[in-house]
Amino acid sequence: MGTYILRRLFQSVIVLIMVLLITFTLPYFQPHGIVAPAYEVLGTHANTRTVALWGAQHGMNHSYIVRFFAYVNQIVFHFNLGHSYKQNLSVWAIIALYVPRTIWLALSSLILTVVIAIPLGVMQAARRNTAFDYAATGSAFVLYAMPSFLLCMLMIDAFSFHSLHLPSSPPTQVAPWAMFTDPIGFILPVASLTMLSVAGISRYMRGTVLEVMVQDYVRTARAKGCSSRRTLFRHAFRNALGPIVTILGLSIPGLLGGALIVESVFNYSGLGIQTVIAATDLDIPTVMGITLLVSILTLAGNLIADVTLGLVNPRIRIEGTR
Amino acid sequence: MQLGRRLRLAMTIGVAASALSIGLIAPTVSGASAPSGTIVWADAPGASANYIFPYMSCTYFNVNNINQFQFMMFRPLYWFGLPGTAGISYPLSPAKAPVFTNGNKTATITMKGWKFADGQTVNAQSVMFFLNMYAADPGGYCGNNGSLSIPALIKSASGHGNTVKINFTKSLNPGYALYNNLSMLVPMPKAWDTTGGGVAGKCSTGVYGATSTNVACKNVEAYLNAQSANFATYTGKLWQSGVDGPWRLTHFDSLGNATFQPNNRYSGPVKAKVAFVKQVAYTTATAEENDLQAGKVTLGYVDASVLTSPAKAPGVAGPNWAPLVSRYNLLSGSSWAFNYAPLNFNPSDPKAALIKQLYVRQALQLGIDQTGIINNIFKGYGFVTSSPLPPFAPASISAPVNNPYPFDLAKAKALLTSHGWTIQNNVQTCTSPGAGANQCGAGIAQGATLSFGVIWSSGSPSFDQQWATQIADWASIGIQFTHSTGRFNTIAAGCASATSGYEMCQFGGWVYAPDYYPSGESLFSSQGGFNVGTYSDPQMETLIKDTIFGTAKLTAFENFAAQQLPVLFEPNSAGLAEVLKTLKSTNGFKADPLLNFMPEYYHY
Amino acid sequence: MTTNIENRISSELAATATASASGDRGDHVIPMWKQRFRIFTHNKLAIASVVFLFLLTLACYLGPLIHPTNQTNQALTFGYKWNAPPSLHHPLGTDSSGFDELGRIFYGGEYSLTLGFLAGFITIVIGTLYGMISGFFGGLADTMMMRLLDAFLSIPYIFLLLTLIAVFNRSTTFLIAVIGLTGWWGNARIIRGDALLIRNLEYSQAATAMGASKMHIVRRHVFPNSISNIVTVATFSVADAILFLSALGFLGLGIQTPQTDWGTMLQSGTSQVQNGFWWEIYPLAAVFILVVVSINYIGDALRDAFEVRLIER
Repeated sequence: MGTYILRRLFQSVIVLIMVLLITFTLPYFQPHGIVAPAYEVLGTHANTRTVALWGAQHGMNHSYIVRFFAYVNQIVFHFNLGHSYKQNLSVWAIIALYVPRTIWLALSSLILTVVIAIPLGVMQAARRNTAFDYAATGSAFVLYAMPSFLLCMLMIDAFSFHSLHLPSSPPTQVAPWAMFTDPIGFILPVASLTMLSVAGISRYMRGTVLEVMVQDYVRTARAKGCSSRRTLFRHAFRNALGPIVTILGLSIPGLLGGALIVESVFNYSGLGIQTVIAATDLDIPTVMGITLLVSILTLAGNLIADVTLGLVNPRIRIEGTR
Repeated sequence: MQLGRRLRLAMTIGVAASALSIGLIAPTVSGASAPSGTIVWADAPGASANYIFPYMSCTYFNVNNINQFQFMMFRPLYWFGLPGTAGISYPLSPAKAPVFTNGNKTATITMKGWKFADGQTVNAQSVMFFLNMYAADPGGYCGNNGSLSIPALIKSASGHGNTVKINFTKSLNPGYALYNNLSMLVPMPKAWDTTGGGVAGKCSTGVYGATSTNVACKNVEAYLNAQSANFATYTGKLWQSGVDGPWRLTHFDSLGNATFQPNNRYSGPVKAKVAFVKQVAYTTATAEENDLQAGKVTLGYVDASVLTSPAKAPGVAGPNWAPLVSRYNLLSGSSWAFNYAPLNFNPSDPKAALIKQLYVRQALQLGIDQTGIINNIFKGYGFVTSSPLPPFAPASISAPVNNPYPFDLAKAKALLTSHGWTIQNNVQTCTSPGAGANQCGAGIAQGATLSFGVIWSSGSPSFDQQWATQIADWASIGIQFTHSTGRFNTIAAGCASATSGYEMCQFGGWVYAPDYYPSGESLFSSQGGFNVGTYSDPQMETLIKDTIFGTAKLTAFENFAAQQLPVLFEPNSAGLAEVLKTLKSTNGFKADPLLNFMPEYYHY
Repeated sequence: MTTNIENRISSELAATATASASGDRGDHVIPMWKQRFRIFTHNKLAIASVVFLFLLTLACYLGPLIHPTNQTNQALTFGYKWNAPPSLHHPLGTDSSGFDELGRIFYGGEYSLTLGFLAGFITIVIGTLYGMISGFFGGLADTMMMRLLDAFLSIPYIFLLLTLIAVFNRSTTFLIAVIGLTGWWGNARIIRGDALLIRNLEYSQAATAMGASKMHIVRRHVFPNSISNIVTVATFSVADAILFLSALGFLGLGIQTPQTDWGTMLQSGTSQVQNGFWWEIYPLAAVFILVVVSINYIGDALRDAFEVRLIER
């Protein structure tokens, strides 16, 4: 197991270096190359002289190789992701500001999703082809097929303007724990985000439990006289949990980036919105910093998921090392 | 300053919005009731303040930081922005009107003796502080315009007591000196003359232009810029002791939310009447509209696209959006800006000979249905543009300009026909080459076609619709366009390049702030810093020179530009503000074209 | 958005893993495709979906012939009324720019459907090639290709897409290319897993033992046997591409005027909800949801049809 983890760690480092290379190289291909952000930042004050000055200030007259190693050096040895071109903040400050905000939003809806979607999926599988199953599957399909912004806008229209009169946006505070001090404002965004992910996960859970139920050992358990409910939970559910762990590991980039539309509709400035703004402003250091962070989190999530699964199921461990 | 920039910021989230602040100049109001109530002001999406030090680089040099944040605390030497015009207001300025003598080569400024929050006087030394820093590092301040602005135009400057005396290198047009140079000075308090640790600097007290002063000033500048990079200092003693405006900042966070409270030591005529002013950051215009419906915002904005009824007249708001009717009043106004599309005059561009012909430019301008675009796309909230002069300009700087080329497709077509063009395969083709009066013109060959390329900035639906309309109208008289959209860097470069394939481009418009003078030195002079299409004309140079170094008003320049079409003039959309009905102002509400935010006039 | 897609990808992954584990495909007497076709046609919903999609596509392209409207020339709409309620002349009313809503649904549909199908097609072609090569050849090539894929997968998809679209000009071709070129990673993983499993099955090992070339095995065994997953994944890719395009429309990064797509239309429609102009949003929302649901139903039905155990059932 130890060597397996070491090996996976080493591979993750290789992947990280690739991510770094990709994000670092991409800006070179835009019109005007790496000084293109100067035009965005300086606006009508941009001319040959000011752009050159701006480039020199940001070390852009060095070669690609020198810049790349300077960047790596800065990250690895000084733990410094640089300074935003556009905002008066360091990239770390931007991350420290927005990541907790997004995490609270995403985490609360993730917990709700798991609490709702897993039992729902299992129940659907257990009562396959009943009216309940059809209704749940139908709603999941519709939710899944609906553009997320449409769902959010309809939620606001229904529960903010026509009934209940819930706030259409959370309070504007920096503190990430605003969710606990002023939970009312978070009802609509968390509910919308939850609905969006319940649709996917419950459908998936239903499928997985169905798959497991036709496996030989479940059939054997039934044949041995286990009650249907006991079979469902003892065997089918437990065996379907494995893929759920994988899903949670894989959904980390989704957690951080996927709240983008919800954040934007409900005026909750988080990592998703910041990335869009940074991308459209050509605020390259911010985009790179966030990408790197999310990549690390994703890789860590995958690693943890794989290791957990490996501990549970030795077959997968062998598969993974291949 | 560029208009499109701010608009596009809002666009990035997909919804158009342009904030409009409501400012107002009123006589002094007595009545000493204690300030009460809270005003919540909605920032335009992605346009929140993020810099406090007024001597700043271009990265932070924008309306959000200057007119709607710093000016609330730190008053400029001269206050511009009256209801409906961008005129100067001496009552609101900490200095009396400048006196120009010595053949307009000397300006004398007398300070009124207002007080900073720490009790120090806003005097000649405060102005010299800024001037000394400007002389030490002209490139550090974004308002600098090289040889056409101070400090390059200053021979010597000195301040004693309440009097600042500036000697220029040559005589300056008083309008230009006031609107474009003195307007940018911000008196700075002695408390800022430091490099930290309580050590006083020598920037405010040194001799103007002396090497020792320059060294001292650069150190102080570096220190203050470093402090300004740390939001935690914004509400601290350093910055707040330098407040001489009606408001002091008591809360500021990195999301862009700010809270102001009245500055009790403000010496000016209009004192704050509400206890709190909160600026709230928004991610999208839709989110802001939702908050308006919930009544959470005192002063906000809507996008014209949600309105169902048009404006009554240019600058006069029509019926409000139905969901807001009960709580808010809708207000519209003009901005101190004009909208235009640069033309590519690069002589190596394959179509250069066509663009060079005045009649071709006239035909293009005649084909722009400004009224139609305003009434249908902007829902009536916009102004027809026919010159670089913004709407409602005061007569003291220029007489109004008549539109020489109102929309007239038949006239445009006749103009082309009379110059030897015939429509073949749907495109105007030159059938009578030559330089004669009824021929196509010099350098235009037989068979040349009026087909061009245009690029405009992406992201704004109404912008796209406007161009779709123009292209369709031009096509109907045989002028064909291929089009593309792009980011600002692509557009500006495209309009100057000979190989880009674009003869026309548009990125927004031009806002005259804080160089408030609607003169042409940046845009139309061959040396201009933002002459995107490399336009050059000797008569234009003469007229521009006269507005800077002569004594002429802007009238001749504006009329020449309107007639010569160095750029195509485009309809200018107007912002829409929502004001809570319970909010009162000491003299009614009217839009400030300079987008200053002046909540000191409001009360409940 | 991303949450859904990630879920979708992982759900495919898990489904593939379990589906392929049974591994007893390919030894039936009745031709496989006939059985599969029968299973597919037994699914009434799937048939209805196919019919609906076909008719809708037809309507988008042929509808303008029956109900001709101007959808590009803003100047011509100046005489029209904005936000007009449905009438005989405008069966679904007009939108906030004065365009006929029904005609606009056709017009936007041409772009949404075409882009969705083309982008989905690109993702599956690249994903299949990459997955096949990686999975079948194995060894160092596989390791390197998979690590590169990990790198792509760990960059949040929507971030990369937004950066690309923000940095470069967005023409219709560019949108197709960018959604296609960034959407294949999940597909490649699924196909690779499939290829890996099939390669190790007895019959391909037997073929190798009998001296068949690698290319031969890919052509004769691996590709035909993973076609099930390819087709299924392709279906979902199209649905995802359509959804993605709509999200871009919401962010103002979709197709540009005078062209339009359903996402951009829905976005401008939602801003009119408060005005009570239901015709600017609900008809289109219904069509949009039905389209994506139909594609998903077809995908599900295809998966069922290819599911060996269900054939036995």
